[in-house]
Amino acid sequence: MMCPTRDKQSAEILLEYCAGTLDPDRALEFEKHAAECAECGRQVASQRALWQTLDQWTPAEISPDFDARLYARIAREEAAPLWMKWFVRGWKPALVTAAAGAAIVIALFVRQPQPPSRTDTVDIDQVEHALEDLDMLMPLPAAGNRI
Amino acid sequence: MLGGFTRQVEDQQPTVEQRMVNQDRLQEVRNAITMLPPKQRAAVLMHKYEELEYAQIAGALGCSESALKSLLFRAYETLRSRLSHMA
Repeated sequence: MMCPTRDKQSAEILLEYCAGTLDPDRALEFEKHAAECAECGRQVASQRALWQTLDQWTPAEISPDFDARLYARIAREEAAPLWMKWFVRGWKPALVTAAAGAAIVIALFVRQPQPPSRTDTVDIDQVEHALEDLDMLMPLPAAGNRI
Repeated sequence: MLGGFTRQVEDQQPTVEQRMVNQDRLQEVRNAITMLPPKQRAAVLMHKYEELEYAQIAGALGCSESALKSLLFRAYETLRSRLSHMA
Protein backbone atom coordinates (compact mmCIF):
# COMPACT_ATOMS: atom_id res chain seq x y z
CA MET A 1 0.00 0.00 0.00
CA MET A 2 1.20 3.50 -0.90
CA CYS A 3 1.86 5.64 2.17
CA PRO A 4 -0.88 8.30 2.40
CA THR A 5 1.57 10.88 3.74
CA ARG A 6 3.71 10.57 0.59
CA ASP A 7 0.98 10.24 -2.01
CA LYS A 8 -1.62 12.97 -2.38
CA GLN A 9 -4.04 10.55 -4.05
CA SER A 10 -3.86 8.22 -1.05
CA ALA A 11 -4.31 11.04 1.44
CA GLU A 12 -8.06 10.52 1.25
CA ILE A 13 -7.56 7.09 2.84
CA LEU A 14 -6.27 8.78 5.94
CA LEU A 15 -9.22 11.15 5.93
CA GLU A 16 -11.79 8.43 5.45
CA TYR A 17 -10.14 6.13 7.99
CA CYS A 18 -10.25 8.83 10.68
CA ALA A 19 -13.84 9.68 9.76
CA GLY A 20 -14.75 5.99 10.01
CA THR A 21 -16.02 5.92 6.44
CA LEU A 22 -13.29 3.74 4.93
CA ASP A 23 -14.54 0.31 3.86
CA PRO A 24 -13.45 -2.49 6.24
CA ASP A 25 -11.00 -4.18 3.87
CA ARG A 26 -9.13 -0.99 3.11
CA ALA A 27 -9.29 0.03 6.78
CA LEU A 28 -7.61 -3.25 7.76
CA GLU A 29 -4.95 -2.73 5.13
CA PHE A 30 -4.35 0.80 6.34
CA GLU A 31 -4.13 -0.30 9.98
CA LYS A 32 -1.39 -2.78 9.03
CA HIS A 33 0.46 -0.02 7.25
CA ALA A 34 -0.03 2.51 10.10
CA ALA A 35 1.35 -0.02 12.60
CA GLU A 36 4.65 0.04 10.71
CA CYS A 37 4.69 3.62 9.42
CA ALA A 38 5.49 6.12 12.17
CA GLU A 39 4.36 9.10 10.12
CA CYS A 40 0.94 7.58 9.40
CA GLY A 41 0.58 6.56 13.04
CA ARG A 42 1.32 10.12 14.06
CA GLN A 43 -1.15 11.49 11.48
CA VAL A 44 -3.91 9.18 12.69
CA ALA A 45 -3.29 10.11 16.33
CA SER A 46 -3.30 13.81 15.55
CA GLN A 47 -6.43 13.54 13.36
CA ARG A 48 -8.25 11.62 16.10
CA ALA A 49 -7.24 14.27 18.63
CA LEU A 50 -8.59 16.93 16.29
CA TRP A 51 -11.81 14.95 15.89
CA GLN A 52 -12.26 14.90 19.67
CA THR A 53 -11.53 18.61 19.89
CA LEU A 54 -14.08 19.35 17.17
CA ASP A 55 -16.64 17.20 19.00
CA GLN A 56 -16.61 19.70 21.86
CA TRP A 57 -18.46 22.19 19.70
CA THR A 58 -21.73 21.66 17.92
CA PRO A 59 -23.10 24.21 15.48
CA ALA A 60 -26.49 25.68 16.30
CA GLU A 61 -29.22 23.45 14.98
CA ILE A 62 -31.87 24.82 12.71
CA SER A 63 -35.46 23.72 13.04
CA PRO A 64 -36.61 20.86 10.77
CA ASP A 65 -39.06 23.09 8.89
CA PHE A 66 -36.53 25.88 8.36
CA ASP A 67 -36.18 25.33 4.60
CA ALA A 68 -39.94 25.16 4.09
CA ARG A 69 -40.50 28.39 6.02
CA LEU A 70 -37.65 30.12 4.20
CA TYR A 71 -38.97 29.23 0.75
CA ALA A 72 -42.52 30.18 1.78
CA ARG A 73 -41.29 33.57 2.94
CA ILE A 74 -39.36 34.16 -0.29
CA ALA A 75 -42.47 33.23 -2.29
CA ARG A 76 -44.64 35.60 -0.19
CA GLU A 77 -42.25 38.50 -0.68
CA GLU A 78 -41.96 37.89 -4.40
CA ALA A 79 -45.75 37.86 -4.73
CA ALA A 80 -46.22 41.05 -2.68
CA PRO A 81 -47.28 44.27 -4.49
CA LEU A 82 -44.53 46.74 -5.45
CA TRP A 83 -45.51 49.39 -2.87
CA MET A 84 -45.30 46.84 -0.08
CA LYS A 85 -41.83 45.74 -1.23
CA TRP A 86 -40.73 49.38 -1.16
CA PHE A 87 -42.25 49.86 2.27
CA VAL A 88 -40.62 46.71 3.67
CA ARG A 89 -37.20 47.56 2.23
CA GLY A 90 -37.39 51.36 2.39
CA TRP A 91 -38.73 52.25 5.84
CA LYS A 92 -35.46 51.70 7.66
CA PRO A 93 -33.35 54.17 5.63
CA ALA A 94 -36.26 56.67 5.78
CA LEU A 95 -36.43 56.32 9.56
CA VAL A 96 -32.68 56.80 9.92
CA THR A 97 -32.79 59.91 7.72
CA ALA A 98 -35.70 61.36 9.70
CA ALA A 99 -33.93 60.69 13.01
CA ALA A 100 -30.73 62.35 11.75
CA GLY A 101 -32.73 65.40 10.56
CA ALA A 102 -34.52 65.66 13.90
CA ALA A 103 -31.19 65.51 15.75
CA ILE A 104 -29.78 68.36 13.62
CA VAL A 105 -32.89 70.52 14.19
CA ILE A 106 -32.72 69.93 17.93
CA ALA A 107 -29.01 70.75 17.99
CA LEU A 108 -29.61 74.00 16.08
CA PHE A 109 -32.66 75.32 17.93
CA VAL A 110 -32.42 74.05 21.47
CA ARG A 111 -29.80 75.94 23.42
CA GLN A 112 -27.82 74.32 26.16
CA PRO A 113 -28.37 75.81 29.67
CA GLN A 114 -25.67 78.41 30.20
CA PRO A 115 -23.46 78.28 33.29
CA PRO A 116 -23.89 81.21 35.64
CA SER A 117 -22.06 84.21 34.24
CA ARG A 118 -19.08 85.78 35.87
CA THR A 119 -20.90 89.10 36.23
CA ASP A 120 -23.53 87.56 38.59
CA THR A 121 -20.93 86.51 41.14
CA VAL A 122 -19.08 89.80 40.85
CA ASP A 123 -22.32 91.65 41.59
CA ILE A 124 -22.91 89.66 44.78
CA ASP A 125 -19.38 90.37 45.95
CA GLN A 126 -19.85 94.01 45.21
CA VAL A 127 -23.06 94.10 47.22
CA GLU A 128 -21.34 92.45 50.20
CA HIS A 129 -18.50 94.95 50.07
CA ALA A 130 -20.98 97.80 49.83
CA LEU A 131 -22.83 96.57 52.92
CA GLU A 132 -19.57 96.30 54.88
CA ASP A 133 -18.67 99.81 53.81
CA LEU A 134 -22.05 101.02 54.97
CA ASP A 135 -21.45 99.46 58.40
CA MET A 136 -18.15 101.27 58.65
CA LEU A 137 -19.79 104.57 57.73
CA MET A 138 -22.42 104.25 60.43
CA PRO A 139 -21.86 106.96 63.03
CA LEU A 140 -20.16 105.69 66.20
CA PRO A 141 -22.28 105.84 69.34
CA ALA A 142 -21.77 108.93 71.50
CA ALA A 143 -19.12 108.67 74.19
CA GLY A 144 -21.69 109.27 76.93
CA ASN A 145 -23.67 106.31 75.90
CA ARG A 146 -20.77 103.93 76.50
CA ILE A 147 -21.10 101.59 79.44
CA MET B 1 -27.13 16.39 60.58
CA LEU B 2 -27.90 13.13 62.40
CA GLY B 3 -26.57 12.66 65.93
CA GLY B 4 -23.63 14.97 65.31
CA PHE B 5 -22.75 13.32 62.00
CA THR B 6 -22.70 15.55 58.97
CA ARG B 7 -22.62 14.02 55.55
CA GLN B 8 -21.01 16.12 52.86
CA VAL B 9 -22.03 15.52 49.28
CA GLU B 10 -19.89 16.66 46.41
CA ASP B 11 -21.50 19.11 44.03
CA GLN B 12 -21.57 17.44 40.61
CA GLN B 13 -22.12 20.71 38.75
CA PRO B 14 -19.07 22.21 37.02
CA THR B 15 -17.60 25.16 38.84
CA VAL B 16 -17.75 28.65 37.41
CA GLU B 17 -14.07 28.35 36.53
CA GLN B 18 -14.64 25.04 34.68
CA ARG B 19 -17.56 26.52 32.82
CA MET B 20 -15.47 29.51 31.74
CA VAL B 21 -12.64 27.22 30.56
CA ASN B 22 -15.15 25.12 28.58
CA GLN B 23 -16.66 28.24 27.05
CA ASP B 24 -13.20 29.40 26.10
CA ARG B 25 -12.39 26.07 24.43
CA LEU B 26 -15.67 26.10 22.53
CA GLN B 27 -14.97 29.62 21.35
CA GLU B 28 -11.51 28.58 20.13
CA VAL B 29 -12.93 25.67 18.12
CA ARG B 30 -15.61 27.91 16.70
CA ASN B 31 -13.10 30.61 15.76
CA ALA B 32 -10.78 28.07 14.12
CA ILE B 33 -13.65 26.84 11.93
CA THR B 34 -14.89 30.35 11.21
CA MET B 35 -11.45 31.44 10.02
CA LEU B 36 -11.30 28.73 7.34
CA PRO B 37 -11.90 29.86 3.75
CA PRO B 38 -15.67 29.70 2.99
CA LYS B 39 -15.56 26.56 0.85
CA GLN B 40 -13.40 24.65 3.34
CA ARG B 41 -15.61 25.81 6.20
CA ALA B 42 -18.75 24.62 4.45
CA ALA B 43 -17.09 21.31 3.62
CA VAL B 44 -16.01 20.72 7.24
CA LEU B 45 -19.43 21.61 8.62
CA MET B 46 -21.18 19.26 6.21
CA HIS B 47 -18.62 16.46 6.63
CA LYS B 48 -17.93 16.58 10.36
CA TYR B 49 -21.14 17.93 11.81
CA GLU B 50 -23.87 17.13 9.30
CA GLU B 51 -22.22 13.80 8.44
CA LEU B 52 -23.22 14.05 4.79
CA GLU B 53 -21.82 11.73 2.12
CA TYR B 54 -18.92 12.92 -0.01
CA ALA B 55 -21.16 12.89 -3.08
CA GLN B 56 -23.75 15.10 -1.37
CA ILE B 57 -21.14 17.60 -0.19
CA ALA B 58 -19.45 17.65 -3.58
CA GLY B 59 -22.85 18.29 -5.21
CA ALA B 60 -23.61 21.14 -2.81
CA LEU B 61 -20.22 22.76 -3.35
CA GLY B 62 -20.12 22.14 -7.08
CA CYS B 63 -16.88 20.19 -7.19
CA SER B 64 -15.72 16.62 -7.79
CA GLU B 65 -15.43 14.14 -4.94
CA SER B 66 -11.69 13.99 -5.43
CA ALA B 67 -11.42 17.79 -5.19
CA LEU B 68 -13.64 17.72 -2.10
CA LYS B 69 -11.41 15.18 -0.35
CA SER B 70 -8.38 17.28 -1.11
CA LEU B 71 -10.25 20.35 0.19
CA LEU B 72 -11.20 18.53 3.40
CA PHE B 73 -7.67 17.25 3.88
CA ARG B 74 -6.31 20.80 3.69
CA ALA B 75 -9.04 22.11 6.00
CA TYR B 76 -8.32 19.48 8.65
CA GLU B 77 -4.61 20.13 8.37
CA THR B 78 -5.24 23.82 9.04
CA LEU B 79 -7.50 22.98 11.98
CA ARG B 80 -4.92 20.56 13.36
CA SER B 81 -2.28 23.24 13.42
CA ARG B 82 -4.65 25.85 14.87
CA LEU B 83 -6.02 23.59 17.58
CA SER B 84 -2.94 21.49 18.31
CA HIS B 85 -2.56 23.09 21.76
CA MET B 86 -6.00 21.83 22.76
CA ALA B 87 -5.43 18.15 21.97
